[in-house]
Amino acid sequence: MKRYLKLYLAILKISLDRFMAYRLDAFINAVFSSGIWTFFNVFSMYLVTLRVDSVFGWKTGELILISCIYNIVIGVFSLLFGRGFSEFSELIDKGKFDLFLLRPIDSQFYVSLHTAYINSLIRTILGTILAIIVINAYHIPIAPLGILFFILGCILAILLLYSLLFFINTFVIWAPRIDNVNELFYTVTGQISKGNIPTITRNSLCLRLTVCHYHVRSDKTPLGKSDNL
Amino acid sequence: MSRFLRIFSLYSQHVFQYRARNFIWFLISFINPLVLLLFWQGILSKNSVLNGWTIESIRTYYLFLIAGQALLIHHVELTVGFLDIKQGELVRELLKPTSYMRTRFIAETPWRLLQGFYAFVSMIPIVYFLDVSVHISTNTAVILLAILTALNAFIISFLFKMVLGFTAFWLTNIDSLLEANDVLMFSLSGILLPLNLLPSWMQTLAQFTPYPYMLYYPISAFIGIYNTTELIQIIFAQFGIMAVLLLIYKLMWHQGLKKFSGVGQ
Repeated sequence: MKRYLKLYLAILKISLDRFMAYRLDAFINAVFSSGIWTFFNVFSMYLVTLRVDSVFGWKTGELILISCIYNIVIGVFSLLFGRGFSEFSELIDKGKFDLFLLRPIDSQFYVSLHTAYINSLIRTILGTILAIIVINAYHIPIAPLGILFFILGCILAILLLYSLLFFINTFVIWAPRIDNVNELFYTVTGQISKGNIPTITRNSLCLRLTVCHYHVRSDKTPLGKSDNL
Repeated sequence: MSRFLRIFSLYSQHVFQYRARNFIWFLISFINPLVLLLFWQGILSKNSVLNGWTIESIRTYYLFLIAGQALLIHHVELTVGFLDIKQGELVRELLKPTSYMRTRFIAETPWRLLQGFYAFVSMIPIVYFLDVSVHISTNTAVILLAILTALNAFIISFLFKMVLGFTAFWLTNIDSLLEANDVLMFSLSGILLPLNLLPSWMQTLAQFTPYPYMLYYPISAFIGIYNTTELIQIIFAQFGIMAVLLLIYKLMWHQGLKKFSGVGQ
């Protein structure tokens, strides 16, 4: 365990050095691409709820907060696993996967975490800032114990997201050209978990994917709406 | 003509080579309208009207959006920017006895047709399981003008994406520009919300961009939101946009080729 932790810290350092090699370009790109999507996610929720006061008991502020929290969770998730899995299809297609299998460490660990996507940190930071702004602007009450459950929920959400992404990526071994499965994964989890889930579940569609279920649970906790956690 | 058909058939084979990948691309564009369709289905009750939109018309809007996104929105900017300009494949294209624009247009069309086919097939279960009654205009003149609006949208989308791809002649990294375009596309073309449900400042802003002319107007035209006079105005606006985009295209192409260099041995 200690060995793997040490190894992951080294990976983080290498990824940070790589990010800093062209720091201005990397920073501008990170801020721009991550920032624009973070703002869009939150702003789109504002636009969608502009003409209505609430959606199945969820007020506008709460739905926007869910969008902010989605950005925090997905930012951390992408930092850890985003880049690793986005390269997976290429590893299989170009025959580079052998290099991962032959190393004297756990192959799943290495293929999942061999590189960190530092740009995603911007998304988490912006998501946190926006969440604080939304909580203040809409006077959303936050319970201290709820924050603890929220953090636990976020960790579980990331683990479940990882399980799902890993499962989906195993299909790439048989069909290496489907390099867009990760994009599909982010689109599906993003759309379902960032706030539209209350509507979908009320429409009795079987879209309660485990991952999204937990995702929303982790979002709901600070609002005190997750009594049965 | 037979030469173009042969090129079309060759590129069609390329499209059918990776059907699963193509289907996943379709699914990615399919998720957003589907979720929003369910969202509005949950919000609007049977008799409520929101800025002229009823539950039936808004459900038809998002249903048509699935087909519109698949059929009308090109993704040629990726090929032009990354493959042709950055990786130098343009050298090969320049040697071909047809114009670059024509080759790209013929190459891109099979992608749209296959995606459109996926869209129409996927619309059937949505109509059946979600009980969506398709709300389409019954006026023949409106339908004919709507078809013309859609054809214009197809060309505008192609020209706009080509121009976006050409920015790779000058920019080292066009990722951020393409991401910004995606966000604007989502917000202003009607993917997120029909244009008249947006705040008024966004509606005004959208009028000065080509985005609503690629998706929102063609889809609304089929639903019957606009009368024939309004549709003729929209079509004239589309011709204006096409002319401007064509001019920008020509300028960028001539200036860009002077910047481009391809080497090999």
